Amino acid sequence: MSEMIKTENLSYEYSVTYEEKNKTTTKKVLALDNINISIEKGSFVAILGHNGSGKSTLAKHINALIKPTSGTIWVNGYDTKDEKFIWDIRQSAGMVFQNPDNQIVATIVEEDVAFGPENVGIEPNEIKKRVDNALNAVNINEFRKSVPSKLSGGQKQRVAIAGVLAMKPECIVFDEPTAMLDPEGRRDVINTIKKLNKYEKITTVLITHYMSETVDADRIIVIDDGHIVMDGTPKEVLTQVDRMKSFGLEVPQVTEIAYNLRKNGIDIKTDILTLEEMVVALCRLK
Amino acid sequence: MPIEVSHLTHLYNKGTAMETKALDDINLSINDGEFVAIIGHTGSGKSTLIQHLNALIKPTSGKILLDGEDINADKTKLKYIRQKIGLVFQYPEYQLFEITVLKDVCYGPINMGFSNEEAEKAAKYALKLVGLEENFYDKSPFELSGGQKRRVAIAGILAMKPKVLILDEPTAGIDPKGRDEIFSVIERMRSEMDITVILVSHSMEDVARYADRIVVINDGKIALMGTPKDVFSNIEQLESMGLAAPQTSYLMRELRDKGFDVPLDVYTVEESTEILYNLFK
Repeated sequence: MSEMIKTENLSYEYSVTYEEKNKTTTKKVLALDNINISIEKGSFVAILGHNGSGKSTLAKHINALIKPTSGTIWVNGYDTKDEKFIWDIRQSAGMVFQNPDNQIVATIVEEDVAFGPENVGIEPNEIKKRVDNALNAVNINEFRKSVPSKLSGGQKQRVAIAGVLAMKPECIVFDEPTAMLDPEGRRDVINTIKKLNKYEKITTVLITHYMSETVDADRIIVIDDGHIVMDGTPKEVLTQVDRMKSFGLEVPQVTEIAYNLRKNGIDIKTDILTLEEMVVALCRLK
Repeated sequence: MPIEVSHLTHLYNKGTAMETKALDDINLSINDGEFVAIIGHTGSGKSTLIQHLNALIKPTSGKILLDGEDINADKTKLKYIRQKIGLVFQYPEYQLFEITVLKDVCYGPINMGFSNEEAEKAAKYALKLVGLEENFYDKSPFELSGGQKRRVAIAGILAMKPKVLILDEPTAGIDPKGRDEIFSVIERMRSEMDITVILVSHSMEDVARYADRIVVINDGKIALMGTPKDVFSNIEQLESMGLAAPQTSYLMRELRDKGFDVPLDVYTVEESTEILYNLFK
């Protein structure tokens, strides 16, 4: 399998200017420090880290919204520092953000989904085909003639995803796509993301604070202070309860309960990530 | 300062083809010092409700009484009402604008007519309450982490010394540690300032853990109301309204189905650990 995203010694530094004790100070902040990762095409990777850890900065590099101050990132083989590839990069890797309201531009759902392809001059027949496919892929076809503002949060977010899909990206970066949603909206959006990864083979990078959303990922990367501190399968990463907590994160509730029971001398395995696994493990104890 | 919502109805675009009933005959009393959580799917009407409590929008019919007085009766009292009932919007850190943390927190009280000295005193007290000590006073708000920014924004409201604080999804987009910090701030201000808290949240785990009472809004009406125990015993009804119960209560239900003798009203990791430990030790 080939690589969708590859970084080599990627660092990103910015300076902040502020007033302190009546004098202006400029400080350099190293948001990403020598990151080396490679993400395979078709994989589902979750990125975790506390606010300010650098994970969104990394995500913005994938879409060439920002560029490394040193080192290199290749997206679908294109070096993001090379201006002439900028549209190839953005077409290869789409982005979905927290707030669906900030990503919806048109007054009718299908027009919003068509906005991206129209902008890059795709043929009307092809646009129609892409809009149909995108709306079906996120299961929102019944609302194609609706006004986006009348939809629920989860439905709006799926419209935003359809808008990205209509550009036929190979990879989508989701930056906390469920942070503003109610429980049903969260479930809908996560199921949509998993489906797109599985059936449309879209390389998926999911940034989230909800640990339960990461249990089905192929891989979890934990970023802290601009460094990669953990990298492995959900079972390898999420079961390290104390380490996760030391990075300001948590683990799924059932994982933590199993870990606590084990610590208190109950003979239960600790690589439990889901409710079903927990019930099976407890039944075995009987 | 008890709040009494009486027969509150709100129509958007009244008299047009777009008319929608956002709130439909809401009756609700909130007692002094209570911690009330409001839950409901997006579009259920909960944001419309809390905007009424702060007199940001007026009822189409019905009343909101603060200490027995209709908050919309006298326009000249609106400033007083908004001081007594503080509202922290979603993503309040977007509203930070001053060059230092202390100045930002002083902005509200100065606007409310506090003297500079009083405002600074109130701001320092509020910052202490949200866990930001002196070394933060001269920092730029934009230099802080997401969770810290949000606590500065909450301090900006607290500095006005409200009796009631309404928080609209205060933990959206905040990491787990930041979320725990915000809840410990809420606990602290309840015990120190004796404040009434109204929390809008999509996290069933958080409302189950912290609230005294939960109000479930669905289609502009109060669908369920009661203690977390009362409300989360109606899992099917909650799910039909686009909501859910905390993960641990699903675990307990599954275990009960498998024949284990466990209680169903369990909402936290700590409680679950204890129950399961006693069952299997």
